[in-house]
Amino acid sequence: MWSLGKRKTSFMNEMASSAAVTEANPAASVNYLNYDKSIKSWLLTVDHKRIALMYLVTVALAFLAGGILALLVRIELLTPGKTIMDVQTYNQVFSLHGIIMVFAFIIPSIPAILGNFVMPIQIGAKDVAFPRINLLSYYVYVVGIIIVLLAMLFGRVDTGWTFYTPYSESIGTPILFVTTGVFVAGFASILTGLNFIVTIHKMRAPGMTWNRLPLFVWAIYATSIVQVLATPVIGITMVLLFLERVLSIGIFDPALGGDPVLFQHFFWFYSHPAVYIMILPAFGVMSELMATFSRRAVMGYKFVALSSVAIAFLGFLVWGHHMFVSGQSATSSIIFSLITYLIGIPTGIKVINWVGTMYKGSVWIQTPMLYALSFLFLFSIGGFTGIMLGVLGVDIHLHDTYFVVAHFHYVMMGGTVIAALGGIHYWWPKMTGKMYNETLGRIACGLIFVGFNMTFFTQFILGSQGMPRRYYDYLPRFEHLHQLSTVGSWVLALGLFLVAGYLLFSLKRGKNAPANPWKAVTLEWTNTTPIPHPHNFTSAPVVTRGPYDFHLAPEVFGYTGDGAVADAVPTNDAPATQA
Amino acid sequence: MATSTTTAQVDSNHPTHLQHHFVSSEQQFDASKMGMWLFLITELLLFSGMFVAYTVFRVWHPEVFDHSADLLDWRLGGLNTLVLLASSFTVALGIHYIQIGNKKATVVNLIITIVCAAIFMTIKYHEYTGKFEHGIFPGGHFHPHEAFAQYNVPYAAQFFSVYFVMTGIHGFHVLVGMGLLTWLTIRTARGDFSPEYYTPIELTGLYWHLVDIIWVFLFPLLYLI
Amino acid sequence: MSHDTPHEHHVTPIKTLALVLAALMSLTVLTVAASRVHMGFLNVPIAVGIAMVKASLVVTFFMALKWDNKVNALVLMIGVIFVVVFLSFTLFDTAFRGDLDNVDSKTIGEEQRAADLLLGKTPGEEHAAAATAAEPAALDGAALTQKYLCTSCHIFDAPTAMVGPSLFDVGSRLSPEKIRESILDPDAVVAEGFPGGLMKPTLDGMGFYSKVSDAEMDALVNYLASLKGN
Repeated sequence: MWSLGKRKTSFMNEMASSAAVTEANPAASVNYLNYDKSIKSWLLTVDHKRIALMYLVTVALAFLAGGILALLVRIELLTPGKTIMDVQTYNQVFSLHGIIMVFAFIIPSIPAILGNFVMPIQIGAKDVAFPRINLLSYYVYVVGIIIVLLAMLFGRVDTGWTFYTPYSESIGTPILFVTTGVFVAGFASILTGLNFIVTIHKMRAPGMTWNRLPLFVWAIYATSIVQVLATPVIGITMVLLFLERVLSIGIFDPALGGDPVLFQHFFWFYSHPAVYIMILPAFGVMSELMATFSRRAVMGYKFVALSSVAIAFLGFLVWGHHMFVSGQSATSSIIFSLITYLIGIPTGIKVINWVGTMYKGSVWIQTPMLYALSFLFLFSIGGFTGIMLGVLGVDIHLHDTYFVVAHFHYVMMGGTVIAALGGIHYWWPKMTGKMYNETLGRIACGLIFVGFNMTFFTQFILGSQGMPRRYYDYLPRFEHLHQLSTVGSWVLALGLFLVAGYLLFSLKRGKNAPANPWKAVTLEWTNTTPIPHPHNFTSAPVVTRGPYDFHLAPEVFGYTGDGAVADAVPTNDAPATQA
Repeated sequence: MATSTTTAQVDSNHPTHLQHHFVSSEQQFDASKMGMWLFLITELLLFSGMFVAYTVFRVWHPEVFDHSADLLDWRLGGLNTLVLLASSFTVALGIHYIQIGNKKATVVNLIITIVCAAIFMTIKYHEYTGKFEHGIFPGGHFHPHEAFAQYNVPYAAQFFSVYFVMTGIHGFHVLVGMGLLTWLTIRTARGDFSPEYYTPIELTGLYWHLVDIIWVFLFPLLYLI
Repeated sequence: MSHDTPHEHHVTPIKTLALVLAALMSLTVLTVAASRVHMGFLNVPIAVGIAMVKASLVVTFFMALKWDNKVNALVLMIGVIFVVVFLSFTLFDTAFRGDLDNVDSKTIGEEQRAADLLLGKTPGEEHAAAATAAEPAALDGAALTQKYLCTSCHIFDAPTAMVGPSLFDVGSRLSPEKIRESILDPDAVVAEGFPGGLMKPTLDGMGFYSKVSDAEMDALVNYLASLKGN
């Protein structure tokens, strides 16, 4: 049993007052969703929570578009040679799949949706530091993506999402739109990152020290640092590519005396840290889920927090591992390979610490936790195969094969998307005031897990046997594995559509959620659901406890027992009964 | 009760510039400045791409880069450097004066800053048209005229591409700065600022100093060595 | 707590600003003067060094970092560090490009066979077969154009120009002596409309001149001389 110490008295006073607020305060019925329902109030909102929901809609649409393109790619690969489309179309389909998934879906995903919604509340702030810039970020992102998509009207975008020169310069007008669009969308990422860094530095509630920040906030902080430092370089790369096309400046085009490998350096200086923009927030979600559903503080808080920052910085030193066979010097290949091994260390620390959090915790299986457990398995595979690819000799054989495709889908989809789904399910009651159907949640998670492994594990085998990536046609011996992978993609798609279905259904017909269905103890759960309007808290919180002090939950919320009790199942009643 | 409640209320001495999600002017000013510094390092990284391109090609072709630099007039470049340095001084002065409440002096200094920027752009315009007249264009259009045939060597085109792109993007930033400074001058004259609130001038000043610093590196790298 | 007493922002004295300006202008004069003195490779670090001093003065005094919240200085420092990372790590590649030419041009299998022969052992049957099969292939002119990467800049089977002119009819345009010269000294005669100064550095960079054997050169020239463009 935990000893509680002297802080108990002030807690009880503090939290008794906010508990009284959550129950009795009639103002709680005015929340951020219902205080003004006009379209204008949504489109011109500066409320971080509403902006988060707008991102949710747009990002989900991007995922749908990118996902349909993926299904088309997999259908085409059912048989060697032509199945449903010709080779020119195929090249564009997989290129667009990559461009949309990277720039329109995954880079914004967790930071723009969950970071925007949850982070300011978790630090006890009223909003982000620059709410108007937050809204601007959203529109800049939308405009950027539209410009990229307009490229299709002018010709073929079949360069792959990596736009390597000199081919990318030769596709004509579309490259002007793609470069402009990516440049503009990059600004959205920079502005969001900047906003979050200042928010976390300057807007924390009294008593919310760095050591009391939820690990999700640490993760968003590290992500934001990467966004601010890396994105400008893709910006200048796009400018130079644009000028190369328009003015033939000859920096990247070998026919003019330029160096195409230099383009790759510029491109990957951003794009490698970009994958840490994708995964760090997922790590943050994982920490929250592991803590809440093990009912235990995350093991080694400081290690997990600082490993996020370490990954953010180390991530800038490894980009050349995408270029081992490009013709870059052996010196740089060796350096990049060595540092690539190193970056596995802070990542491994996190995985060990999450597992350690569950050990002797009180593990409670709910849909978000199922996603967290899936993440542990899938991301570990993704991470290990990444280290394998970092071995120079091995990469010579595996570069540009399906092994690489499988690796990055395991980390991006098996990692980020799984964690994003876990986070969406976890914070869904707080965001919408509704609960989804738990049974359907578990079924969908199972479908996604099985479908995902069917789709992508076969691709490790394909790749190691020599199947190159981005190929339209292939040797007959690969056909069965490709078919298995495609069927897997259908199972995966089914699971994802099911998720969309029951989540949307819950908005209309879901049960009203209690304020704290998971009995979590970070600040966002101390509020009514949905979050009240106009400020996130009826009175500014003064923080005197850590983010995962479950042992203080009885005083904090007046609950008895742990999370896995009968009254934790959501009902239509008001929040938890008082002790 | 251990909670503080002032944030939810609007009290009588709530200044007009204070935004509602901030607790105090101090917090707002600090947050704005930190935000600006973060933006400045993104600009730094944007320009860094071009510095990397310059360095890579220079290491590969040092004589070509050295020789091609002779075509750039160091006197004009040096003059531009002095002009920009002076403009940094005047914008810092402008901030000094608004901090002590002398609006008139602030306006004067902001105007001088804009004039310096205009001089800079005029000299650059003069330099660019001079180059174009001699057939020196970026990259694929690099065809120096007869008198400069000795400069028409492989990879000289890269030098001039880097020159035009770096100074071009820098010049674009100068123009944006001129716009911002003009807007600030109007607002100061209108009385929008005071020692209690002059954040936009502070932030634009920081931006302007960075534009100056970029030039401080461009000048020797392109013109002198 | 949200009351607004005008808190103290540091006001930089005009004298300080003026002194800094004077220093900056003097350093500008210094950097021009230093560049006119030819010190070889030192000119570059001196110019960059002076620029860094000037930038530090602007940052410390004009941008008032000296009196500001330390966090802002940290932000700037991190930005600068990553510019340095970008530059230096890219240079690890570009400055050492072509360093793979100290890797042996023989495959491990070839070395093993040579070692076996020296030791008086008979290489295994499959090795012997491969050894005899390997020899003629090594002198196949077309294969040599692949081996030495001529195909990255020249087309051999069509009149298409790439970085370099098409060689599909070079045998009918140039004598074998001229063909040999165009490989050994590419800038002696540069084809009309193509950039000079590209082929030689490329061949140097890959160590062609030290790697190619006399037999291989002969095979290459003979092959090229046989390309008559039909």
